[in-house]
Order: sequence, then structure tokens, then C-alpha cells
Amino acid sequence: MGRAIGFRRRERDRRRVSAPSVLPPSISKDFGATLVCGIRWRLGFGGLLSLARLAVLLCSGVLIEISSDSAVAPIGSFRLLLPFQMVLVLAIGDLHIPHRAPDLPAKFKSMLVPGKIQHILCTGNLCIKEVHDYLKSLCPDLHIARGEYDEDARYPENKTLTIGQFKLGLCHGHQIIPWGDLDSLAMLQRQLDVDILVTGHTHQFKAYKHEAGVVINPGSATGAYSSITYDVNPSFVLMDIDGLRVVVYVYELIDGEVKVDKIDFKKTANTQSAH
Amino acid sequence: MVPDAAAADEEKCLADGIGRLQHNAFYMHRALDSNNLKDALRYAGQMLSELRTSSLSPHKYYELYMRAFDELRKVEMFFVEETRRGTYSVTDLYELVQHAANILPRLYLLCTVGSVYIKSKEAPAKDVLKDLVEMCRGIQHPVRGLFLRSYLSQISRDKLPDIGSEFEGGANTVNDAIEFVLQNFTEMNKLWVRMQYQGPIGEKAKRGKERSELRDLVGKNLHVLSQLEGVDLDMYKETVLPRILEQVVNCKDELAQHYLMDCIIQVFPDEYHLQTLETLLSAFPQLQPTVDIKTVLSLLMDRLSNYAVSSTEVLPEFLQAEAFAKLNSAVGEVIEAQVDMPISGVITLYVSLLTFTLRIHPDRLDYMDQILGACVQRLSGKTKVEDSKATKQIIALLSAPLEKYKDISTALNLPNYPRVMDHLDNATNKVMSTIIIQNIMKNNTCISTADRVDTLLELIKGLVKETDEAQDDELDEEDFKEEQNSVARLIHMLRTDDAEEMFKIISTVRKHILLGGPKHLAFTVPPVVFSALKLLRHLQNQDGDVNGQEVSVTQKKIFQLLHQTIEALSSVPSPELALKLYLQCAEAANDCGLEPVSYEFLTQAFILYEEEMADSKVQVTAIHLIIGTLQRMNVFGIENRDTLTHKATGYSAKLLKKPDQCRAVYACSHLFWVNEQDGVKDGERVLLCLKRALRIANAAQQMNATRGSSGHVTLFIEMLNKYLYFLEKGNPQITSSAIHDLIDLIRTEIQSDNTTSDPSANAFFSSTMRYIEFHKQKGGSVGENYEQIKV
Repeated sequence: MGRAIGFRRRERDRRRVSAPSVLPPSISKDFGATLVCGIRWRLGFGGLLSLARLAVLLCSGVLIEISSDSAVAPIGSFRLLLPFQMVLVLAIGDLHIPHRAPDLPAKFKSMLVPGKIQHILCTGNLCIKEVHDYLKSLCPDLHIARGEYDEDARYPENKTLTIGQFKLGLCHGHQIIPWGDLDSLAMLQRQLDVDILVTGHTHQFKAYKHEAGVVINPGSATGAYSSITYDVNPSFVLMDIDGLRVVVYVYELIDGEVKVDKIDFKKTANTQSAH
Repeated sequence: MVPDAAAADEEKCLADGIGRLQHNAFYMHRALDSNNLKDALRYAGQMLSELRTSSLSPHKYYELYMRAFDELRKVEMFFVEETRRGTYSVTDLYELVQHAANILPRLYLLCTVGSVYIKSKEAPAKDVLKDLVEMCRGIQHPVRGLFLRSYLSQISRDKLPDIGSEFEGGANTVNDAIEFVLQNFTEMNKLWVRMQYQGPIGEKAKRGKERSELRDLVGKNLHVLSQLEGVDLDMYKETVLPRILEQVVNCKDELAQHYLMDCIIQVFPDEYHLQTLETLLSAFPQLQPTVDIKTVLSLLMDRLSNYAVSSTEVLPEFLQAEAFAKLNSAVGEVIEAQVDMPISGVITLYVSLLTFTLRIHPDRLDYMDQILGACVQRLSGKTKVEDSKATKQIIALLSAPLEKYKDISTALNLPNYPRVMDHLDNATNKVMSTIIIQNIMKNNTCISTADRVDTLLELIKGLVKETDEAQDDELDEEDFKEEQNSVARLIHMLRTDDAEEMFKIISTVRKHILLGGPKHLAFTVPPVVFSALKLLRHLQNQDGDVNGQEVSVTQKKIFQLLHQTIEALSSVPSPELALKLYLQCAEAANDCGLEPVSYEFLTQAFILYEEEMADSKVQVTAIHLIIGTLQRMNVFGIENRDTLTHKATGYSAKLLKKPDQCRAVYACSHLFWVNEQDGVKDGERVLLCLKRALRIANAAQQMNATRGSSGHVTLFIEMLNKYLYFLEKGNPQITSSAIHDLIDLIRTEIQSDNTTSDPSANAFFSSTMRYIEFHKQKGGSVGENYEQIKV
């Protein structure tokens, strides 16, 4: 048993360095810890895992790891047991197809598979219908803010929606001058009254926490040319929203390799009072 | 009604025949059971007489024949039993059955006894077989003869003196077996061919159909031959193939030639074909001109191609046999010989030949070009190919090398490739172009020299150029978009890291796309512009190690090209797109430190804004882009900068809707305050902008009041945030009293609005107040600015 767990750990470590093939990537072990109470009861009676085994798994911190590998239970069925629903949100934008790039990088395309993601927030500049259809095929719950190159005039300038305990705002960002300026984006965030603001336009990945919440820029998924950012790397963001916590995974394509970074945010009581 | 009646008649005839057959069979069995040979043979003769009928179609005749066949098997068993027991000698039986009254029953019985005779080995197999096959000549009616000989073939199959068979040895050699089968085959083929010429002329088509029902009887012989152990390559080469071909060629019958050639190719092993390619191919041009040779020849080539890939060991054999040269000349000869072959047939042949070449000689591009060249020759002199079958084949022809090499460069190296494409009509050219583009995208191929780019774009001109035909109107809008988007995607694949070559590529692309019509340009110009901008970035990155002057020459050339390209777009008219592209270029020029160039691009953008932007929504987006771009520029001297900022502020204040005005004007405040180290910091003009925006917000509020609605409190809160922003940045012109006034104003507005309270405005205000509170508590340099604000 011990050896098996050791192996799993190594595997997880390796996967974290290279690109995971299946979304989501390894889920943090703190995640498992926060849910101990909720899971032990339910799993014990649900007969999915023996209590002894569960204890070992919890100690080693690989519980969620195993479940996400679907060795014990597929992630969907697991979710039903959790006290909070875990939700995956893809933030993607500024693809500029076909003006500035021929297509999404093949590596990204192979990672983005239908059925794994619950919501897509797109910061705009798709620019054509094919791309819209592609995103829609990944996940039917697709929200798009209008970029300046989008031919579809029906996209709104900005949009807000609530996912779990979080209120999210979406805006392309060319309307916010100076472009990419965090203080100005913070003003938009106050205006929309959201916990997480997702914007684009600069083609540079950013995740920034300030007193009133989080501002995320997923960058350009195709690494499109930008007058604002030199040397754009293709990137997108996957948010794992779970209760009061959001884990932001940044996928970036650097010299043909997908690098994944993880940033953790927690909603504080202070911001909660906004509701 | 007539055919139905005839069918019913035939049905009845068959039923009667079967009835009589069974009747006689019954008595025959009774006689056999009581060992009455004489009666048995008499009834057998009567039973077999049913097969003498001429009123059944081959299909029905076959049914009758099968029943007789089953009965004969029992007779044969009886003979075997009796001769073994010694009741009769085979030789006697062989004589006895010849007493039957009619020739057909006599021969059937003779064959049956013959089979027993061979089995008994009392006479050499070869003599019996020879006797039988000669005797069967007695039946010259095609259908009856074919079935009789088919019976002979059937019962003798396991008794041929083949190598390894028990009947071989002594005087019996495999040659006798081959001779027997070949002779039977020849006779059957003659009967089969003759069938075409018997009966009334009006039923020619019907006879053709009947004949094709019978073809397997003839083909069966070839199958028997291929199964013989003794037919090895030498035997096949020396005896079997020449004899078969002789018969095939000499019969001069379209149906027989087509079927038998097909049959030869299918039943004998591919290895034999490869070794006898010359003999086999030499037969093709001698066939009747109406024979569908292309299908047969294609089949042969396809089989050989598959054989070649089946194992690597056989490839040298192909080279040794000079298969390509032989097939190539055969294809040529066949096309020469068959003047009436439709062009689709010709192309089909070349497709097969090309597939063959791709599999066996993937390295011989010259072969491939030779084939394409031959195609061009056949196509030349004709107008564009419009026959849908032929165009489909040409597409197959042109796609084959793409699929094989997964690299368009190979195709671009074939001089005849574009020439074949020239013969396609517009619609097909587009289809083929799309296939080419898809191939490039799928394989991620970069085209990295200007020459190749030129060839490629010339190749797909169906998509790039505007067609002068009137069919444009019928063109589906969606399809057109899809096509043009694929061209746009393609442009990104035309790239290299070598700056000089890249510039040439971009110039080449530009040259081609400018031939496109106004509808095309909106799709194709942006990728070219961004390719050029990327090249500029690339040059900038290299700036350090390359001679600065030289680089800037290229830069200027690029900007010139950009200017001209976008100009084409603005006249198209796609002014919005052109404006955005001008702004991108202006910023790129700014990054290169070229003030006049940048100014020129901005001027163009401003002109477009003034002259072409009528829609208020478009104006709002455009003005934000103008302000955003301008805000980032640092190349301008004071005078130019003033002119430009003045213009931008002016445009902002002239927007249609008051809230849009207000927002654009307060955005303009950032033009005078750039947070970077040595950025502009003109606090007074910032304040002027903010005050102007505030006045507009007031006006908006009053307009609302007259309308009796609310909702523009938000504007004041936005203003408050802007004031706070500049306060934070240390603009000395922003006073706490101004901020207090604003806060008071907002509070009054919110309270007076109480009846129609706007929850989003309330939330915005309270989060802003929280933000102030946060900074006051936080302290530090920013906090100091906040200290004087009382909430």
C-alpha cells in the first residue's frame, strides 16, 4: 500500500511539472483536508472506500488525486458527495483567429476536451463564428464579452454572473483606459461589484489580488500579436471554484511545452459583506 | 403485362420440368435400388432430357440443373459402389451409358461414369479427360453446352493429374491437367460469346444480361487453373497466360474481354502479374475499343500498389520488373487506342498510375511530374473541365501527392501540378484550393520562401482572386466567409525567421491579395498587416546586433507597405477595420521611434473617424481605441501631441449619447497623466477633463430629470472613482473638497432617487466608500492623500 502511494505521489509530481493530459490537473491536497469531515461520513456509508483506506489516503494527501484519476470514482460522481460543488471555469480570450493566428495551438486543443468544464468565460476577440462554435462545443454555458474585432455585435460590452459563492465579471478591456491598468480595472470591478473580474486585451496573463477581489487576465490563447505586450505566449486560465476558495491554474505554452502554474485565492469575510 | 406473362410462363415451364425430373428420378432410384441398371439408365436419360429445354432463362435453367446435379451425384455413388463390388466393370459402364437416346443425357452420364473411371485408375486420367472434353463438343447450344461443360469441370476438379495429386504420375503430367482445363475454358468461352449472336436482334440487351449471369461458369475455369499446384510462375508465364490471353483477344467480344481480364487479375497472384507485366499489358491495346479498360487497368495497378506495400521485400522486384515504365507506356497506349474514352476515364487511369508510383517510387518526383504532364497533355486543347466525374478524378489526382507527402512543398516542386489545376473550372479550383489549405494547416507546414509562396498563391488563385463571373451572386455568404477565413489562416503559415525573405514573402502575399475584390480584402488584409507587424517586432528584437541604419530602411519599407495595404482596405469600404489597423501601425511606429510615420497613421485613422464613422456605437468603440492608443504613445513632440489629444478630446465631447460623452471625456484625462517615470503629468489639464466630464454628467442628469427617469447616478460615482484615482497618483490639482462635493452630490441623488432606487448604483457607491475607508486605514503614502477625506 505504502509503495503504491509513493508511486502515486511521484506520478503527481511529474504531472505537475509537465502538462496534465486531462483536465483538471492534480487538485491540491489542502482541498482534501478542508473536506475531511464531509467526505469521511459520506464515503464511509456510501461504501466507496473503506474507512481504513480512506484514513491512509487522507494522511498521504492523495485522496483527491486518486479520485481525479478516476481510479476510485469518476470525478462527476464524487462531486455529488461534496458539501460544496466543485466547478471548473475556463477563462480564455483574445484568440484573434484568423487575423493574427491560424488556430489554437494543437497542444491546447488536445487538452480542452468537451464535458470537463462547467462554464466558459471568454474575453472576446474570437473573432469568427467557427471559434464561437468550437468554444460552444467544449461547454454549452459560454459567456462572451465583446472585443473590438468581434464581428458578432450581439456580444455585450460586459457581463456579470454568479458561480457558487462567487460573483464574476467579464469585460474585454479595451474600454478601460489606460489599457491593462490595474487601478482602473479595480474601478470597473467596484462598478460591477464582482469578486473576480476577468478581462483581456493586453494578451498577457495576469492574476492579481487586491483589497476587493481578484482580477484575472487569461492572456491570448493563440499567443496573438499585441501592440501592448511583446513576446506573447499562448495562455489560458482554468478556475476551480470551490466554496469560498478559487484555485487558478494558468496554462502557458512556452517554447512548445505547456507549463502549468497554480495560484490560490480565498474569499475573505470582508468581501463577502458585499452581498 | 407482357414481361409478367412471360415470367409466369417461364415459371410454369420450370415447375413442370422439375416435376417431370422428380418423377423420373423417383423411378430411377427404384431401379437403382433393385439393381436394375438398364431401367435406371433409361430413367436417368429421361430425367436428364429435361435439361434439353430451350424455354428457360439461364437463371431458371440453373435451378433445374442443380436438381439434376444432385440426382447425378447419387447415380455416381451407385456406380462407385457397384464397380467396387465388381458387379460391373467401369469400361462396360462407360460403353453402356452411351446407349442413351439423346446426346445431352448421354454426355451427362458419360461424364459421371468418366469420373468414376478416373477414380478407378483403370485408364490414365489424361485419356479419359481428353475423351470427355472432346465429346462435349457435341453440344453446341450455348446455355446447354455451358452447363454441361461446367458439370464436367465440377466433377473433374479433384481428379486432375496435378502435382501432388494421386492421379499424377506415369503418362499423366500436370501439362495434361492444364491442357484439359484450358481446352474446356476455350470451348466454354466460345459458347458464351456465341450466345450474344443468337436469337432476335431486339433482345440484345436482355441477352447481355443473361450472359453476365453465366460469366462465372466461364471464369470458374480460370479459378481452377490458379488452384493447380503445377501452375508455377514458369508454367504461368510460358503456357497458361499466353493461352488465356490468346483466347481473350481473339474472341473479340466486349463483355468477355472485360470480364476475363478482370478475372485474370483477380484470381492469379500479384507476384505473377508483376513478373508477366509485359505480356499482360500487351493484351490491353488489342482489346475491343469499347471495352472498359480503365477499370481493369486501374484494378491491376491498385492491386500491384497494395502488393508493393504488403511487404518491403517485394519492392526490389518492382524495380527489377521496371513496373512503372511498363504501366506508364501501357496507359499511354490504351488511351491512344481508345479514342472515345471519356476524359474522366483517362484521369482515372492516371490516378491509379499515380497511386502506384507514390507507393513504389515515393522518391521519384520526376515520375509523378511525368504523369501529371501526361494529364496536362490530354486535357490541353479542351476548355475547362466541367464534367463532374472528371473533376472528381482530377481532385483525387491532385490530392494523392498531398496526402502521401503531407507537405505542400513537394507539390510546389512539380512543374506540372499547377498546369493540371489550370484546367479546373472555378468551383472545382476552389474545392481543390481548400483541400490544399487544409493539408497545410493539418500538417502545420510553413512555406518559407517567397518563390514558393508565389507558386502556392498562384495555385489557389480561385480563392484569392475575384472571379469575374456572375455566379458571385449565387455564392453562399457562409461558404464565402469560410473560404476567405481559411485563406486568412493560411497567410500565417507563410513565414520564415529570415527577415529579408519574410519581407519578400509579405510583399508577394500582398501582391496576390490585392487582386482580390472588395469582399476578399476585408478577410485577407488583416493577416498580412499583422504578419508585417510581427516582422517589425522581430527586427526590433534583433536591433542590437544588426546595423541600425540598415534595419530602419527595412522598417520604413514595411511601414510603406502597411500604409498602402490598409489604404486598399479603407477604400473597400471597411473603414472600421482600417481604422483599427491604422492604430496598430501607429503604435508600432511609435515603438520604432518614428514620429512622422506614427503621426501619419494616426492622421489616417482620424480622417476615417471623421469621414466614415456614422454609427454611434461604432464611434464609441473607435474613440476608446483612439484614446487608448494615444495614451500609450511617447514619440510625439509637444506640438504634435497637442494636436492629437485636442482632436481626440474634441471627438469625445461630440459623441451622441451623454453618458458615452462623459466616459470618453474622463478617459481623455489619462492622455495628460501617464504613470510611467518620465510620462506626461499635466495635472491642470487632467482636472479640466474631469470637470468637463462632470458637466456632461450633470447635463445627462438634468435630461433624465426632464424625462422623469433616473439611472445616471452611476456616472457621478464613476467620476468620483476617477477623482480618487488621480488623488492616489498624487495629482495636486485634485482637492479633497472637490471629492467631498461629489460624495455629497451622489448621496443626495441616491436619496432623492429613493422611489426608483438603483441597486447596482448603490452597490457601486458602497464599494467605492469601502475602498476609501480601506485606504484611510492602510495609511502609507497613498493613505495620506485620503486622510483629508471625511466620509
